[in-house]
Amino acid sequence: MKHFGTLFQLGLKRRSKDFFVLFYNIIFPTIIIVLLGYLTSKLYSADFTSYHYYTIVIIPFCSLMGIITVSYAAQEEKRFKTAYRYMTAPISKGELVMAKFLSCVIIFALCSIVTLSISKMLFNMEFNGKFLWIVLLLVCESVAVTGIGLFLGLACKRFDILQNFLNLPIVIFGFLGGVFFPVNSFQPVLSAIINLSPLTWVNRGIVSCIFDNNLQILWVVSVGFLLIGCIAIGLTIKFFKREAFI
Amino acid sequence: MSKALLQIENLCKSYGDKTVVTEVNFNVNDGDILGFIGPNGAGKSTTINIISTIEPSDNGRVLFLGKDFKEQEKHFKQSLGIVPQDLALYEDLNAYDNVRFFCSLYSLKGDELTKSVKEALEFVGLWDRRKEYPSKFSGGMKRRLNIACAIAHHPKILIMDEPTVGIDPQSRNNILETIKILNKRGTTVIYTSHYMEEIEVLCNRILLLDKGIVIEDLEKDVYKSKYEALGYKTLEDIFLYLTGTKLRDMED
Repeated sequence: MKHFGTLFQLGLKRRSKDFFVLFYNIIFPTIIIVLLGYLTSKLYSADFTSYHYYTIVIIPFCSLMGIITVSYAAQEEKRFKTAYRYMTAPISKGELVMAKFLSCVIIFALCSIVTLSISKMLFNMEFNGKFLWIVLLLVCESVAVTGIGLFLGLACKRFDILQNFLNLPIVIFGFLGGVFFPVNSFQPVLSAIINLSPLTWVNRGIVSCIFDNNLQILWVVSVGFLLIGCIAIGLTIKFFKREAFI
Repeated sequence: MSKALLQIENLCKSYGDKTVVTEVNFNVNDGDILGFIGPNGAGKSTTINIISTIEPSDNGRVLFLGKDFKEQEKHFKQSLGIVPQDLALYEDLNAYDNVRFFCSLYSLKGDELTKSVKEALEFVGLWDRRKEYPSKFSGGMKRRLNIACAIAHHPKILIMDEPTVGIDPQSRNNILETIKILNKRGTTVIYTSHYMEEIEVLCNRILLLDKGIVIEDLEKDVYKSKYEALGYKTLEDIFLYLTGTKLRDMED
């Protein structure tokens, strides 16, 4: 891991200046929260406003959308044609992947925290004193999002085809998770489908943490995200495709 | 006689049914500037990619100082500098940071790294422009920066893949002079180009590859004496004589 520090520093520098990362993880969710919150403001109570609802659902959704940004970030050496230099330098796949992974996780997690803090200030959200627990969940989500994004970008041979369809399952997950409007059903089949979305569980975890003082779902979801992230990153190192990188 | 730095033995590579490199054998001697030429699709890039560890061969091996490079990959990579045909630079890093970053991938640190980066930028004449971004550079300056990124870690072997494509004669001349100085300082160079006059001026040995096979591998002077007698005076004449005049894209 001799070159990890060098690669990590560059990754951090590049991600922190990446317009798409900053726009889609801070500016875009803030605009959407304000917009949807305003449009549906009469449908919610004074204690739990529409702004509160959309803060809870939009930030994890935009974080999940980060899979697309990460998968592109994974291939930026290909875009800049610098991959050739990486492949001929005495650095390992592990160093390369881990440096990308950690730099993305840090920046994505920071973006989520900044957006959450903006909402906290703008809409007087107190999170019932559970702000740090929600931050923990978002950090764990960043781990999973980055792991999956890197796997798609570095270990899938035909990512160029896949990338055109990537937003589809994420938007469906968002819809099922109640990102655009609250979704619920007592019908068993529909209820099972809703439960397939990771965002359903993220939102349930946050709601039960804030309003029921119950951290159980939040813990399970956080650990689940960490596991997914670790597995994805392990698979990325194992199945790293030079041809995808170059 | 110079010792063989690289020995390429029976290299073969196919993509599906198409064989692109067939039993390629040659040596790169210490101190050589080896001109590696051939028409499009001759197998040059594939051979270069195999030598530079980008892709594996189906058969054959590459020996570095007498030992298979796969057994000493890190050591071999440490000794290798690559100037790819495409500009391999980060547009959002300035010239200094570009060279510093790529140089640091070769384990150089602290004062040694700073000194090496300065030397490389001075060597290609870009030290005064080090704080500028590649996007502000002319084609020739970008090419020189591309070279600086490859030489800062003082490689023993430098592989240059058409490093003068699309630049003005002054920049080209500067790059060729730079390569000569590097070679005098002890760097062995493998140089590919479609500009035959560059190969003639620069290289002491020329290897001609066509259809994945080494057609000719001679010292430059031997080329001259061998083919002048047949009426072919320039390297371009010899090249066309050996590889034919038929357009290669018409054959695909």
